[in-house]
Amino acid sequence: MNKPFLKFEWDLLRGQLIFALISLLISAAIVYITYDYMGGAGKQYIRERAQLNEVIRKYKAAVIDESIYKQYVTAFQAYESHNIIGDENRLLWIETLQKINAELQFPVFKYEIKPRQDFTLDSDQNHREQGLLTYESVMHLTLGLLHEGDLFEMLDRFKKANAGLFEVRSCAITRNNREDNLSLDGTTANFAANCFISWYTIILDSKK
Amino acid sequence: MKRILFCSGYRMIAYDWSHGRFSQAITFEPDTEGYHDFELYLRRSLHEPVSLLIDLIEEEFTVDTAPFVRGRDRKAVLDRKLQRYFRTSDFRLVEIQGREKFGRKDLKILIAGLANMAILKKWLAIIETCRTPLKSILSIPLIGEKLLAPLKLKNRRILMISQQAPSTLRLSFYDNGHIKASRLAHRTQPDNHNDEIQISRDIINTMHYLRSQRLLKRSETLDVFVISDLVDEQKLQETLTADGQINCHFLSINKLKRTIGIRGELPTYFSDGIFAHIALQGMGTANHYAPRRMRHYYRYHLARNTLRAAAVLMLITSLALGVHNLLKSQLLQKYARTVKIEKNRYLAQYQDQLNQFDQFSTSPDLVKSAVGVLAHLEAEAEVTPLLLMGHLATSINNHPNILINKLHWQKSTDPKQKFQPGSGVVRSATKKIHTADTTHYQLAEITGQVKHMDNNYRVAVELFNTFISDLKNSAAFHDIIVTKTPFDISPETDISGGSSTSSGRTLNAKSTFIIRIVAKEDDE
Repeated sequence: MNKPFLKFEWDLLRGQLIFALISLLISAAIVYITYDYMGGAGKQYIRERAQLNEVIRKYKAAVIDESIYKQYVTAFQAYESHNIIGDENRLLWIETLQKINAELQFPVFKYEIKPRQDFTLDSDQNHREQGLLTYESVMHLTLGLLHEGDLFEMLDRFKKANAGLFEVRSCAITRNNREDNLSLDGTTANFAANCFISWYTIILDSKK
Repeated sequence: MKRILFCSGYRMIAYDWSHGRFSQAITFEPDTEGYHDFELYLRRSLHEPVSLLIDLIEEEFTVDTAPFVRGRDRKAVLDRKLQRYFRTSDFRLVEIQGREKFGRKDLKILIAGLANMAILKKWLAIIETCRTPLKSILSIPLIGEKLLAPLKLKNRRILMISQQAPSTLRLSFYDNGHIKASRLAHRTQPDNHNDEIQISRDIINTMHYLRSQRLLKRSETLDVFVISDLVDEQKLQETLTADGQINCHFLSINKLKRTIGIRGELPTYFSDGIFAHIALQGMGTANHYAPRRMRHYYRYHLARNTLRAAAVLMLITSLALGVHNLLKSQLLQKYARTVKIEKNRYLAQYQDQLNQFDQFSTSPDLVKSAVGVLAHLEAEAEVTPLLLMGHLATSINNHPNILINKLHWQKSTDPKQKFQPGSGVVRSATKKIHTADTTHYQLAEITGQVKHMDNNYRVAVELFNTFISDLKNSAAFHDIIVTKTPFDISPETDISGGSSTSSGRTLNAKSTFIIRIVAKEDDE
């Protein structure tokens, strides 16, 4: 009856402690195993979901690509066929010029095509990253004209020949005679024209 | 099953009780054999807690007051009261029974305890030896407070008489549900059938005691409730009627046991079973007298129960979680299968889509960009000198004396750009900026002369000014700048002239002008 009050009698609790410990272990095992199992199922679901999202994204991109192709492919192919996309066809340009000269019979006819140079448009940075490179070849054209309208006739024929994409950047037309007496013999030029024309081509680097 | 022990001063009786029904009652005599049997009984269910119900003559009750204080002060005051009345006993309690209505409104307290615990010593030692959890030591009069409610006597002042053992009679006085006084009267002739006289004498003595203690007013009638089937009601009634201030009521034990919910038979003819039942009901009555050190095996019992409950709860929770996880896993697997089917469907559609455009090696974005850039360049290429020269020709037709000798045309984003043939006009040199905000200009520098003036300066100046005015009025041109006039007539210049043919020619040769025309591409 007078046992020390604080003496702890483990034997009275041993059974329950062991039971509690075993319960704890079993509970932990059940929770761990089922959580692990659920985690595996969850990961599998997330993986499948991610793959589905990726496939949907690709599919949607493909649909958009299809619409882009449908919208632009005709124009693109036209540019390709006119030698605007790809390498320059200088031979065609020269042949076209010679043909027009033969038709219009310019008293003076000279051309000089400078080496090709790349140039950058302001919105070009993205294009360059995509692999779109813009090039320009400057042609200096010197003409002797019977009438100033011959210049525009030549430019018009040049355009219609579809030899490439060109832009008249600068032109100087000078009257050869200070008075307005025009020569009408057909061999003496009344006007001299000096024009700078840019030929544009683009090259697509699909590897970028 | 619950166990309760009852000690009325001599022998010990053990009752097994379950859900209102007493299954057995074992009596242990206070001798060697009885103690041995008691130990065996306890060891039979070693870890089952027991409560000890006592009805001893050594139990004393005192009503007192204490100043109304709170917290530690209250505890100190009550401890002092306990020390004063039961200095040597551990079996004691103090209970607050309310506050006085007048004066300082002191606390009304009941102090109860066992003045001598020698009778219980041996029994308690056996309980301790067996390491049986002692839940509580309970007092019959204090448990009697709980009997008042079912009897609807809680708000009255009554004297309750009960018999728990053949040789004793418990007389307890309750005021508004609280025990105020209690005494155990010995029956000198327990087997005498004419002991009603002795009972009535005990009642009257008790009434005198209550009056002396001012627990009962002198003129007040005392209601006496006798719980017993062994007393001759008529005889006792006749004996007490002579007093005139006592109303006697009889409560049949058999009726009472039904009222308080006892099922089956009581273990004895006395009312100990009634009090034992009340003590065991529900969660059981709180301990009255057992000191803390005697209840430590009960704390082990509580700890065991707590551990067991915690373990079971853990198992149940983990099982519930496990089932939940498994169900969720199944659901996730089902979702994953559905998603996989959906994925394969999209994959097939995607492959079909890809197969349609297999012939294109160029990406759609590049195709779009290329077409965009080339369309832009093509639109710019549409702008030629033709239109500007057309507008200029229209103006010159109205001025036959104006002769154009040279026209220099170029495109620029800078309206003030100087004309330098062959320089600064190509894209690769200028890095021309193409944005929506940039204005594109056509610049033209015209060199010309005013014809056939015959030294008439005034007319020449007027013709030139009219020409310039017409150009400026034309909507086709954004700006007209006269870089050089045909005749400088400002005060700072030197003017010479004459009437000969040669001097007239000289004038005509000098009448050259230079005009700069700026046209916006949009204006075209």
